[in-house]
Amino acid sequence: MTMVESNPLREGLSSARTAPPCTVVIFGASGDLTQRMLIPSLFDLSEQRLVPPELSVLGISRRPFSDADFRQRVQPDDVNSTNWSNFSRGIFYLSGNHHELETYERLKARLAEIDSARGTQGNRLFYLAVSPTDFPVVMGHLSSHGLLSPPDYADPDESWVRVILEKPFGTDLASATLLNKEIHKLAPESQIYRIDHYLGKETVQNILTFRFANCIFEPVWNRRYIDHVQITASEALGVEERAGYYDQSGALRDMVQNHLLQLLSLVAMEPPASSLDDSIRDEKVKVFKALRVYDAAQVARETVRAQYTAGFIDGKPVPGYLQEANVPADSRTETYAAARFWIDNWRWEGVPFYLRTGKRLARKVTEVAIVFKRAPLMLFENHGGDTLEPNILVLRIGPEEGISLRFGTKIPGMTRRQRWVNMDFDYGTSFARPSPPAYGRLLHDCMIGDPTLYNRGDAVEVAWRVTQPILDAWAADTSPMPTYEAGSAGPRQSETWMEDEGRYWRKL
Amino acid sequence: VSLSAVLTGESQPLDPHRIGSTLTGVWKEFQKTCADGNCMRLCSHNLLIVCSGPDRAAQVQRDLDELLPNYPGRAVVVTLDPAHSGPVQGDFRVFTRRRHLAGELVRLRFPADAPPLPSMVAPLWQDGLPMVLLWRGEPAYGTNWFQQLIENCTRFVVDTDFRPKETLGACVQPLAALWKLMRDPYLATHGFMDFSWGRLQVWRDWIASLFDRPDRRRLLPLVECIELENWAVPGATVPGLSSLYLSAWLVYHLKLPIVQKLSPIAGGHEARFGNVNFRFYSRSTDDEDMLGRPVRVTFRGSRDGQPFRLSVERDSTECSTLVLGGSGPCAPGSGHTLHLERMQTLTLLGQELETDGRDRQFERVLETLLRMTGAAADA
Repeated sequence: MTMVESNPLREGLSSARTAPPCTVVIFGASGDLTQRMLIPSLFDLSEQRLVPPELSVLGISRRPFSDADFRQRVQPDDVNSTNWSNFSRGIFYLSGNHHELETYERLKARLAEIDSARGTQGNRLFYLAVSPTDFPVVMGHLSSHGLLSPPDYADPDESWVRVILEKPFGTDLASATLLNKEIHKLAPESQIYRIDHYLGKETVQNILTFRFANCIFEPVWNRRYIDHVQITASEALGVEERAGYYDQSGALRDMVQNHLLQLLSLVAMEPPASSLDDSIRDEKVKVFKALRVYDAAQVARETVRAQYTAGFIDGKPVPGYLQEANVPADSRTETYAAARFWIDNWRWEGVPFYLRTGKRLARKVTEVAIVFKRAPLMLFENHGGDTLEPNILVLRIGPEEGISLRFGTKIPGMTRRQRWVNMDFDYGTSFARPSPPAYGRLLHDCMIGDPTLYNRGDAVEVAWRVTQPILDAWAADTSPMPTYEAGSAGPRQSETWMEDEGRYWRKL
Repeated sequence: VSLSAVLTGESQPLDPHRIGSTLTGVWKEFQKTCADGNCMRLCSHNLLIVCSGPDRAAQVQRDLDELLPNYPGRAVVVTLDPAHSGPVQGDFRVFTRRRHLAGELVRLRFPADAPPLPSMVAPLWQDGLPMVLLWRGEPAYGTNWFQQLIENCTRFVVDTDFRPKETLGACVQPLAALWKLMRDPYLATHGFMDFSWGRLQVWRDWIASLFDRPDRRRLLPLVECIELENWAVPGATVPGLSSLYLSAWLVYHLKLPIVQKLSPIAGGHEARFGNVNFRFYSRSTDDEDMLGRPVRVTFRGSRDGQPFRLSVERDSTECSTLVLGGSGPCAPGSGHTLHLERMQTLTLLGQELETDGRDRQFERVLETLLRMTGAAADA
């Protein structure tokens, strides 16, 4: 039989490649993530024709749902009823405890049934939305039941089994390293997809396009022209329903160790050799390896942490962190974290990367600001004083996605005064279609076997290597926890910390 | 023109010989309303739409009302109206978004032909931005003023009539004219598009998706016959443009050499490309809106002596639902259906405004279509 390597009819189509048929098995399926993100994303992919009609979903959790109950539970609001009806025929549910062997025996039989009934060809995507400590447990049982390999009846050249691990991947360096070791005993890295939904965001992916598809920025993307970089992810919300998790985690673990360091790596990485293989992930790891690791004294100098107190958000009073439900009254968990990172390589030597994140801040902003060096000589009168302001390139991740470049321009008139103006690119005005949901993009990538936007094991470990000393130093520090008022721009220490170096946080 | 009247969003009278200065005047007045001067005149493209007849212009107007707020730009809609014999008439409206001027729509009504048109619209284009010319109806190929418009634009879009014609020649003649233009060395950097091709995007996606599965992909070399059906008036046998486009797309991508060009058979037409027989059939309908649109594409062949059939079909009861069907090895199961919103002109136009340069696939498919129908030589 003649083998056709790729689908010739796909050539030139604007749609991304349709994923091969598979069954998505969700462990922890009764959780919020399945209902809010996973099923709506898969359904959206199906409406976009990016997954085939054979796509099937099997939810697993302890709760005793029938297939019909589960379908009803996960049905998104306002969907096309014809499409949902077709899609939901492929949604099934298996009630079982993922710690018990018997669950996996039933799982194996159920997957074989689905393969036979729906033509999913033995392809499986296991989505582990369970506690990270249970990753090795679930994977161990999957392995012992032969479920980490395609079944005997599947085409050995074409079928696949992949595992998506939901964050957090470990709670510290030791647990992440141990987790990696344990799962690598069960499956090779090529089967493991560690998800960080930040990397699926359109604007985050655009950082690479912006840097490497435009040759005008790359020549100035280095220590000669860039003074410093600010990466901000602020939220106006508090801990909401997640107090239990958040109090164990804190801002550094929740945001900096993963999301913000990922943004830093995309801004700082060298040009990859290719976008098709592991080159991008290789370059990101090189950045993490070049990040300076602090001792306790350096942590005190290079980081700021704080907790919010009562204040106002949108004119409404909100409680302080210690007054939130399910937060211990003596909690020392930071709700604000800022850190100055140094990348010890030729490109970035001497350029600080300031990362900050926090809850209950003045407003929700996620952005990367590249602050360039000031022009060496002031030739013109300045509107606001006698100091020259730097050019700032802002990559806005949200909520108003876009890019802006601040530069000086002459104020019309007889003087030579100048003023700062912004040159703006706004996704909303340039592209009418909305960005696809991050989870959908990442699930599709996994189905087609593209791990570029997933975290590799070594990257996770090197990111922990940088954040662990900060966690340790903060844990050992018994001095009073700095605070900031809810609705403010953060703790005063953070502002003075910047001002001492003649730099300023961008306004929130 | 008073700014307060303009900002109501209602059409304002316009002297067609003072379009540029009128729009500039509006912008200057608008700026004065922003005390801090922090407002912009958003413009991402220039769009000229020429409509043969007022009916088409009215249809375009509805689309633009929705499009321009999302794609800020300057749009000029020209109606070539045989019933109009006086001087050119015009009006305009503006769109605002927050504190920005986010679009200008100028409407001009000309007699049936419009030699002065290029001189009136060329000074309006914002430099450095795409200039998209969309023609609704039969373009004025061969006239000097049409040539001037084409040379001034960066992208030319036609909307070839989908409905089946009485002869094959009448069906492909507009495409031959378009192809001739595309071959003009002077227009080598221009982009070209036919919305009739664009509307088939969903069908192309679905047909392609039939062969994404590796086991079905292996059936492709074993396909012996491809049947294409389109809706037509009762008694029609000439293939519709949708079937011709889809077949040319398949021939091009499957790299099938032309063995026998399109010729009539009982109830339809037939052609042979490589080892595959292409058969074209029509299915009768009284629904004007459906005429010419695809009904079904079926692939037939056999593997190890066992026949197979794979098809993509529009649901008989729901015109926006496509069904994957078939029998034999690797046939899709039941329930492989998807409800899709029909590709609206608005969506297609939005795509054109986001596209730069030539669509090489469209170019190759059009060339293939003309070759397989024997019209390439004429073009």
